[in-house]
Amino acid sequence: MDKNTVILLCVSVYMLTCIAIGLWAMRRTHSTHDFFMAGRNLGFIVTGVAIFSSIMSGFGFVGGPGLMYTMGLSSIWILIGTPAGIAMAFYLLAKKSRMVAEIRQSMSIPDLAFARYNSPAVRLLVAISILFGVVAYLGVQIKAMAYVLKEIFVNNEIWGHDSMLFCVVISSAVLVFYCVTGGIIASVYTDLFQGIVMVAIAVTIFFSAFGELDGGITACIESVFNDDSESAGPWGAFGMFGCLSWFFLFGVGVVGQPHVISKMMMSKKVEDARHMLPFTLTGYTLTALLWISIGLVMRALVLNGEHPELAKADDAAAEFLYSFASPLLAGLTFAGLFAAIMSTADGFLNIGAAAIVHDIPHAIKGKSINRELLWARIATVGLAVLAGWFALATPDLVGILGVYGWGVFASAMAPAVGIGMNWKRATRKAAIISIILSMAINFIAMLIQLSTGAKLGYGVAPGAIALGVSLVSFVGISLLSKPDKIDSDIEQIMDL
Amino acid sequence: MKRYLLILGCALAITLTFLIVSQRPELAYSQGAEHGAFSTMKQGVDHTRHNQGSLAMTGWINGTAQTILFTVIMILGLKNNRESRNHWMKIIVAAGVIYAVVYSALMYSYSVGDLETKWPLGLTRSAFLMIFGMWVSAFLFTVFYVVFFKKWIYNDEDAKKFEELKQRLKSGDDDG
Repeated sequence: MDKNTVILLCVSVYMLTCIAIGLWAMRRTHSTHDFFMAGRNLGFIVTGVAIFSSIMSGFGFVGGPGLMYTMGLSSIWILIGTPAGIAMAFYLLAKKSRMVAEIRQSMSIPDLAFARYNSPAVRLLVAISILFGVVAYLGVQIKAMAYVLKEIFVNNEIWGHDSMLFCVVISSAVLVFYCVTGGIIASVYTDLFQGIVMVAIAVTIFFSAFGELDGGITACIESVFNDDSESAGPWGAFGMFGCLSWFFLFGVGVVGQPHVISKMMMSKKVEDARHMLPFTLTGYTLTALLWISIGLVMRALVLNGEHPELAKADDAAAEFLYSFASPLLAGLTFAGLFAAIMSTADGFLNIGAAAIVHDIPHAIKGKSINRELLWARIATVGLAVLAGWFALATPDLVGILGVYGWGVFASAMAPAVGIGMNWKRATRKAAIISIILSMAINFIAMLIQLSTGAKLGYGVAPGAIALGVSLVSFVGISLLSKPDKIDSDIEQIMDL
Repeated sequence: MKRYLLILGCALAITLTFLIVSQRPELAYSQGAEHGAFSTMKQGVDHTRHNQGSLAMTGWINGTAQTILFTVIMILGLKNNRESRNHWMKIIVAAGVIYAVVYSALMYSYSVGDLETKWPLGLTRSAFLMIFGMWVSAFLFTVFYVVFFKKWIYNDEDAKKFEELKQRLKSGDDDG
């Protein structure tokens, strides 16, 4: 069997497994609480793996190797910032978000924010920021899925292979199917399956990739160093301040990621957090090996003249698999690429649907809408269609939107939710202003970049500025404003 | 109160350094340059590109403030009674100091012209400190979370209090 057929087979088996999990989860989904919170009944392994697999997205498995190939070691700052951020998220939120979820029957982050600040305005703003971020981030994931699928279709000469619309529809259909049928239960159990696939593939690829060069990893780094010592240095080609802004944004920023916080709220017991963190951190670190190895090896191979230059940096992963991996490894790794993308996208679909059918109606009308579960399923389909349309209609915008999405989550929620849940002096006025500021700064930066192409000097990420301003305004305004009364049950939880 | 002033101070230092640097005229190779032979790659080109003016010092202030901020944010999530505080204070502050010292060592190694690949895997000292030093320092906080969970985060007494709170809410004795 040739390599292309094996790849197609592996990806098909992977997709069918996801569909089967969706069907299995459908039988366990009876209410909106099941659909959004998995009945708060997940074990620590499932939750721990689901958290890391949703953090390591298509950006990590497709964009990450591309960044290593283009800039050398620069993007490792993302990989060392994120584990610190994961630890911060656990210290701040794993215990408290889980406890609030239980006593208030919370189903989402806006529910959590409402419990803390007792303010419909905070709930509405958190829901809106989630919705904006979700559409942007989901668009990137759908685009990445279609991009990977197109590679496979082109090489197998499958009908419709040159149509991006065809690839978007096919790749989204599986995702939407299991998200609509099984809700978050399907999402976390596919995340578990996807996480295991991702770890196995990343470790195998790491050893296989460095085996392509005589002298392994040392020879690879030497090749990069001999061409340009800076690319093998701590800042890579990108430079100091770009790297430091990534470290900040992907460090503290993890605390504000809704797909991380919402999964913390779903565990069976409060004390499960202790065992979830090692699973999350180990999984993330092992999958990061794929990011590092493919990007660095492709750079060294091109520099050594052992491989022609890539047409695009983001081709690094696909090019390596087609040129160097065995058929089975290439097939499994393509399945792993889908796993990385879909494990992030499914969480966002669920969180976005919750914002539409649960959080925004609650913030405006103070109550749930009728037939919430049905509307949640309809909203899931609607969101996927909207994000797919975004991906198709604005091809040049998608990368910028992805960065915007992470930046919005980080700057809007890390201070107001992450710090706010641990600081009684934090006020709702500070939360409202910091969320508005963070959305405005990210939005204005995106508009300026789109209309003029202008970027901040020295590679500083706008999201890092937004996060910094949001933190300063949140703490500063809280200290200057009159303290709010906190509900007694929430106050008791904050004291524990 | 002091922890929040520390967060405010670090966040201000980080934001201001990013803002100030991003508005400065771009120096040569500050974000690298296109590779001479391969258009899809970039090169850093000049090892002294960050040693001009106050760039290195600004980078040191920014990164050190980040390591302190990360540590203080984690401290916010810890139990704050006297018994717990006595246990975590020295340990977590020491970990924070290690984090900041590793970052400072990285900056120092880089700024004095670190061009020898004598460290494991053929890395320069500063690159080695970045990959392994910074990662291991962050990993320490994860180890503490797991090992000291019952002392720092959530113990049997907390579980009992939480159960009591749930019971009170169920019977309507609490205004939550």
